[in-house]
Amino acid sequence: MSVSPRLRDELVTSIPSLRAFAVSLCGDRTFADDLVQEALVKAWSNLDKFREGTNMRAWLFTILRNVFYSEHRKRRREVEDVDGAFAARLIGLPSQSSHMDMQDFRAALAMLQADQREALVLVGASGFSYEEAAAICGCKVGTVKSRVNRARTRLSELLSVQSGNDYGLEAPIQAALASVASAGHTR
Amino acid sequence: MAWGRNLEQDTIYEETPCDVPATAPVSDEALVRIGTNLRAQYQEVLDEPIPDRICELLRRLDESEDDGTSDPLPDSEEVSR
Repeated sequence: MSVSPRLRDELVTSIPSLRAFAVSLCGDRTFADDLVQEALVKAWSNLDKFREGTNMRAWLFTILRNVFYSEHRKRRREVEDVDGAFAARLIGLPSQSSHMDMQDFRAALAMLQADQREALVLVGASGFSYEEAAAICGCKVGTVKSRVNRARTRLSELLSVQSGNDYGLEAPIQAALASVASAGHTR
Repeated sequence: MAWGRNLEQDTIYEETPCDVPATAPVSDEALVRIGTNLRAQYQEVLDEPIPDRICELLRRLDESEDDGTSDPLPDSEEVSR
């Protein structure tokens, strides 16, 4: 199969945003890069199916998202779910950014439902339109809008607690983690 | 996996597929804060160099094309499903 230099360039140019999206999906750099690698291999061997002139980045995001969810289903069968363990680790570690607000935000974002976080990232950070995000997620435009709204509302709730006291997000997050942990034990 | 818990909750989550926010409106201040942080966090990853292993993968993909090999990695055929 021959890959045109232009398509190859487009694909390579998309890698940084593909990585950023992958990190937002799984919350882990190493796993994110696994996802990007698999998505790139799939994309490469299917470049003949890509219609030139359409949105390469959206196409790649769709592939990566499919890789993520099929990987997730696979892993759930193989290993026990770690539940809130990752979120707890995330809060314990100093953020790459020294900015306190960003650390709180990161923790709050980690607490969102996956579908809401995904919609918010696609629209609010990746720069996709609601229509493009809907195509990537395989759902209706209204569903994306609803998820984005819910994500913003939830984040604003989580972050507003912080501005009301000196303890930051710690208290609500600890409470949420405790409930996650106890829910995990009952399964 | 990291966000496993949240994914599980999806199945019992009720959607409101309409343009009207299903919840209380978010203040402009909060929207700005959310937007700024969201983009900053995303930008942090965008600014990172492409990891070596991904560069290496691209090299292998390029080479496989030169060889006329259409299947650079074992799991690539899964795509055509």
